[in-house]
Amino acid sequence: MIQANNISYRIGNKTILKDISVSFEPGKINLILGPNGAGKSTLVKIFCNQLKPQEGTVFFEEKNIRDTSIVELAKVRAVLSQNTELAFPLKVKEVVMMGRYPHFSVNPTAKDEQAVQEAMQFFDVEEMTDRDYLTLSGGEKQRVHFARVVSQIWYPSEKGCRYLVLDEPLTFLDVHYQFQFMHKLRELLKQQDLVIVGVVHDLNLAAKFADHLILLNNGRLLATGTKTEVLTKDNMKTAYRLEPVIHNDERGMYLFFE
Amino acid sequence: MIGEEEAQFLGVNIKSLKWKILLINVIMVAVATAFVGVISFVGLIVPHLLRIINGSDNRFLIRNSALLGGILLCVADLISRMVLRPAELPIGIVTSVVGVPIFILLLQRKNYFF
Repeated sequence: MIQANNISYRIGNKTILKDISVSFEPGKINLILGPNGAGKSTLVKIFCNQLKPQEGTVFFEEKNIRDTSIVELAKVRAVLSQNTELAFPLKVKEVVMMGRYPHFSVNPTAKDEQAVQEAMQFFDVEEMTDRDYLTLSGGEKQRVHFARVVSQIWYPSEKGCRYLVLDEPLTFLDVHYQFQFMHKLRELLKQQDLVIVGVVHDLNLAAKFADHLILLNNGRLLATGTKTEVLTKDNMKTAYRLEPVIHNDERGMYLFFE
Repeated sequence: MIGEEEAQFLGVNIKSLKWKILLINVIMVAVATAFVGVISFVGLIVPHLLRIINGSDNRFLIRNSALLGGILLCVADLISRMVLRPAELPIGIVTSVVGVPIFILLLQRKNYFF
C-alpha cells in the first residue's frame, strides 16, 4: 500500500501541490485524473522519489521512501514514464532486459531471462524479440516498454507489495490496445500484492476500469473514491470547466461533453 | 541510453555514478596530457567527427575512434617531420593547428547532439 500524508510541493512561489493525502491499496486500479497542470505528474514523481516534497511524507507499506535506497526501491517499484526516449539500435529483448537490471549484477540469470520471456509473451511482443527497437512504431514501442516495466517486478517480493506506477501509459495507443492494456492490468491484479497507480486523461476509460479515483484540480485534492463519487457533474464542472452529460446504465458509465 | 530518470527507476544512483565517471575521466586525461602534451587533443576531435559520420552507436564509435585517432596522429607526425626538414616541428603544434578549427566548427553546429 502507498500512503501519502499532507504532501505539499512548491516551485519558487508557485504552489504545485497543496496538502494532498491519499492512499492506494493493492489489488485495485488506482487512477489519478485532472486537467492539464493540475499536478498529476508532479504527484506521481513524488511517489517515485523523483521529487522531494517540502511538506509531507510518502510511505510504501510502513517504510518512508526517503529512507529507502534507490536500488532497494527499484526491486519492488517499476515506473512507466510519459515519454521514454531511447535512440540506440537495441534489440527488443535487450530493451525488455533493462527492466531486470536491478536484479542482477553482471550477467542476467535464467530467472531474469524467463521473466523477460514471460513479460514479452504477456504483452504480445514476443514475435518482435530480435527486431531493432528503432524500427518499431510508436504503439509497438510503448508495448515493449510495458513489457520492460512489468518484467522489473515480475516476481513477488519477500518484503511486501510490488508497485507499478504509470504516467499516462496510453499515449500512442489506439483504442484496441488501450483496452487490451487495461485488461492486462486487470489480469496482473490477480496477483494480490500488486499496487497500481496511473495517470490517465480519458475519463471514460477511467470510468470503465478504475476501482479508485483521485481527482486533482489546481494542485488540490478535489475528490477521491469510486467513479460515482468522483465523476459527478459538479466535480467535472469545477475541474474541466465543461458541463458533462453523465449516462449510467447496466453496461457502465459514460461521460459526454458539449 | 534510456535517460537519467529511467536509470534511476531501474536502481542506478545517478549522482554517485556521475562523480565516479568524472573522476576517472579527469585522471585519464591528466595522465595522458602529462606524458605526451597536447597530442591528446586528437581525443577531443576524433570521436566527435565520427559521431557526425555515423551517430553515437558506441559499438562503432569506440573501435573506430581508436583507428581514426591513430591515423590522424600518424599523418600529423609525418607533417611535423617534413615541414621544417631536417628539424622537427613539435607534433602538438600540428595537431592543434588541425584540431582547433575543426573543434570550433563543431561547437558552432547547433543541432549537434549525442
